[in-house]
Amino acid sequence: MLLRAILSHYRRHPMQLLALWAILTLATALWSGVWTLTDQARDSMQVGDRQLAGQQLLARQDGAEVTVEDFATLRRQGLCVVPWLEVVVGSGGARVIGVDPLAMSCADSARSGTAPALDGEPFVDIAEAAGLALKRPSRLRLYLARETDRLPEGWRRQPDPSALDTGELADSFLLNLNALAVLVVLVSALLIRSVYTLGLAQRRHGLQLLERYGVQRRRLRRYLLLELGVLALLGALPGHGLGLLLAEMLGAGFGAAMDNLFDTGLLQTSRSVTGFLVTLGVMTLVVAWCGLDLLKVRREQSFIPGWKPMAGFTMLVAGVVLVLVAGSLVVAFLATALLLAGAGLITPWLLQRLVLPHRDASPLHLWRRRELGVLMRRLALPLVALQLAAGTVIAVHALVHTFEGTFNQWLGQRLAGDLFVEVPDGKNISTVASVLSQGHLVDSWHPVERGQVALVDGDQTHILDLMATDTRSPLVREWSLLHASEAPWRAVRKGAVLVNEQLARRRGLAPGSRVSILVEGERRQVTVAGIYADYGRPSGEVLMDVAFLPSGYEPGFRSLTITLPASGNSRQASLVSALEQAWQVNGLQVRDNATVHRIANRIFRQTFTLTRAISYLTLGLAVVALLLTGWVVLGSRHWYYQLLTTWGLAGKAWFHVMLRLTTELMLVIWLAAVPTGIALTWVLVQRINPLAFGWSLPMAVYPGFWLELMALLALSALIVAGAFYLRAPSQVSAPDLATGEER
Amino acid sequence: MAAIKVADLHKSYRTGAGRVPVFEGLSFSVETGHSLALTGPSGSGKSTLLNILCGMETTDRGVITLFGRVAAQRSPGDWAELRRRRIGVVFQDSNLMPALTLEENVRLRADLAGQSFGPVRDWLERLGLKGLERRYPDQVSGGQRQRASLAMVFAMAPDLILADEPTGSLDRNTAHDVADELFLWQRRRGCTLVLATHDLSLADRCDQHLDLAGGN
Ligand SMILES: Nc1ncnc2c1ncn2[C@@H]1O[C@H](COP(=O)(O)OP(=O)(O)OP(=O)(O)O)[C@@H](O)[C@H]1O
Ligand SMILES: [Mg+2]
Repeated sequence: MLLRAILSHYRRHPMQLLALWAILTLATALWSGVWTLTDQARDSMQVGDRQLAGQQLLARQDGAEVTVEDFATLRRQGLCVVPWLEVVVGSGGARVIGVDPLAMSCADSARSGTAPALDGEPFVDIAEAAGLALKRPSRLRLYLARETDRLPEGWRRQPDPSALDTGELADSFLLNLNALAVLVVLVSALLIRSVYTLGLAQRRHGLQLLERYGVQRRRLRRYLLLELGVLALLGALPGHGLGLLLAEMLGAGFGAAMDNLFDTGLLQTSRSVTGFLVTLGVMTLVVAWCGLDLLKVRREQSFIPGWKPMAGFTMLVAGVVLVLVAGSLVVAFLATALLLAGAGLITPWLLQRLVLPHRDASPLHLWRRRELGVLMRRLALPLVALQLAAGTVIAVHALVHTFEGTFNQWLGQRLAGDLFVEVPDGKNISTVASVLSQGHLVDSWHPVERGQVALVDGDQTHILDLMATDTRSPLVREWSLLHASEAPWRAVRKGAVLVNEQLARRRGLAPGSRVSILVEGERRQVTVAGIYADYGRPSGEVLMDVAFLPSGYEPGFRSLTITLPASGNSRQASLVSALEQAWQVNGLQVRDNATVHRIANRIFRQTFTLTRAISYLTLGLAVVALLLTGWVVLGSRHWYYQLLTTWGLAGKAWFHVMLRLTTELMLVIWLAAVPTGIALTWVLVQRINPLAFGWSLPMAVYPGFWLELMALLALSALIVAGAFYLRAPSQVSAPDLATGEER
Repeated sequence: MAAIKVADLHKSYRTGAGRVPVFEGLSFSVETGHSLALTGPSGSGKSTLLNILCGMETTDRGVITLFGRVAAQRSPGDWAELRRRRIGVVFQDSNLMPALTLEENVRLRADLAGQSFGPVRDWLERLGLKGLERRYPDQVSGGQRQRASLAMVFAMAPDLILADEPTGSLDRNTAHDVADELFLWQRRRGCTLVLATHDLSLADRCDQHLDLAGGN
């Protein structure tokens, strides 16, 4: 009976129950969707990473080819190696690739147990591929799991010759993505809470009555918690399913490709169970947070108690200081959390001040502003949620654009030229000079030699990567530099060096700095002429002209970057065979840069799309929640809006007043969201990224997008005002002022 | 001249259970400057009639003439204009915007009616609200709120006041004071007043009396 009395609220306000349930379901769907999508993005990037060959190969110390038997032996020794057996099966160069799903699952970086579909190249089990390889040309590579540190006797590590390491760029993106996923959870928690507290505020009167009738408050609270728990469960179950569906729909292209490759059903189920547990955990937290309100069933609700702006301000200041001085990632994340929490606390208070009416305002203006103040106080939670959601969308938009642009540009630099040809061990470039000078085979080319140098700093030396190339090549000169002294390339041709960003940051180098390096035992004082972006990996790198390498220098690795003459596609084969002939080798390592570029782009583009989708969904949810709560709050004020009609402000004039009211409300959110978004972007790319990876991304803002966002918010304002206009005006009863209608 | 003339008014509400007739052939008229008391048990249609008279409720049949013009000829815009400048409506409670002070409420009403703000403070003072101008509605008593509601109507200087139990939520003495102010102002201004009330002593102070009890 008591339960009935408690639940009777929902009989009178069935829409509220529906709204609460809908918001719980949608929020759960969003979390599990985000969770799954982030997971997919991680997989997709790691697969891409492997495909772009960011991994170490295992090679025999005696230089002999590795065999499938070697693989079996190594596996039996417990070493985590992943085989990749390419077998040429057709005359047109069609290949099958033999992989071992079991081995892949041991390597953390292949958690999905999948590899991507290269265009038209089917994957088969390694045993089957080994059978095919008996009679056909084939090549086996053994990839080493990254964390392996001890190698068996007779084996050594070898960098993947076609290495193009997107590892760190991808990791950085994932880091940002994870930060944003946390924000999504925060936003939806705020939304759930706001819808719930709104209902609770309305029920407070009835609950007090029950208490006055002698029902113990403890009992009331228990029932309410029970109700909340049941609701949460009822929302979580379909919500989780919906989230998976959502993720599947969004990630369909990628997911379908994976399913075709392997039977990954098992892996996916276990993943979705973890996902569900995560969802449940978050749900419990949020519900507990809502439950906090139950502890103060009787207390008068005050929407902005005095301590909040002060606390918010303190947190903001502390956050700003911390973010500026942060020396570690944890501190930076903590600072960001402080910043966001501070912003959330202080925004309602700040905006209250923003909408204070002008002096000498007309009475109607005064009324609108005051009403706006009331709405902002009563909608403080969903407004802050929308502010954070919109801020997140702004940050995601800027991030994705920045990543896309940066990645493309950087990839363009690294993949300049049509072909990347590895110079076989023990061979020289001079041997093929005559081939390279044939105009019908080669348009232009430059050598790249990679090795190591040491940076001398006092009595310490630091090992750095060295990249030496012919800086007269037009391909190199298209590189854009982050910072440079005047005519940097000319300086490099005269002996200066360029350094990558991570080295510059670590050593505090700037264009014009002089450093001391050891090249092949020879000590040199060189000038830093410029700094280039290098997103792939953590190590510091020095770039110099090949002409300045000591004569006896033995690079670890030599390659040629070649541009084919126009219509050179058909010439590729003849060039390769000419080179093979000149070097007297078979099976030259050649990388077709355009293909790599295409694959990389495809993988990244999909991830970017997913990320955008996530952020828009968050925004959508926040808008829906605001519409729902706004509807309830505006509804509770309906009498007063009707009063305006009674006073002769009817029809269109009334609609205009309401529209201005809702539009101003949205505008105010927008005003709060833009700086939030900018600050978030800045913290992510300029602070967190350098702390995590040693390099920063360029900071860019996209005002055009802000306008789009504003248009979206204005549209929501129009919807609320319109729906209100069409709402039947009758049956509006006067509220009881004595019970404390909010002013 | 009659300010209000109602002839053969029919009105019913449509509900889920069918039509609920409220008026079936109601006729009466009120001279300009006169006051009319509407009485009758709860549910007899007092509020409904007042809503019809200010154009906030439709009718089924009958002719209503207001200020010499047939109501049916007025557009919704005309009605809004009338309510803004010539018809003052007072409810039992909640006539004030909660987020505005008493003074700001009165100013808002005067502003909508196109009246100057000059006498706003005078009105509040005359109604015994001096010193409370800057209070919000929830910071004053029910009687003070109701007096502020009257100040709002006075400030707009209407030709017709429609009051729906304006003293219904007040104690006897306060109700008497508020009624005094209302009648005093109405007589002095020569404004027409229609007043719905359960209070027979209040009804007796009006020039005319219409009992909506037995199906009119
Ligand atoms: N919007 C509506 N829909 C349906 N019926 C209504 C509506 N408004 C009023 N009624 C009905 O019309 C009749 C007259 O209502 P009204 O509010 O005019 O009575 P009243 O005389 O003002 O009563 P009270 O003295 O209680 O204020 C009542 O029976 C009421 O139930
Ligand atoms: Mg009534």
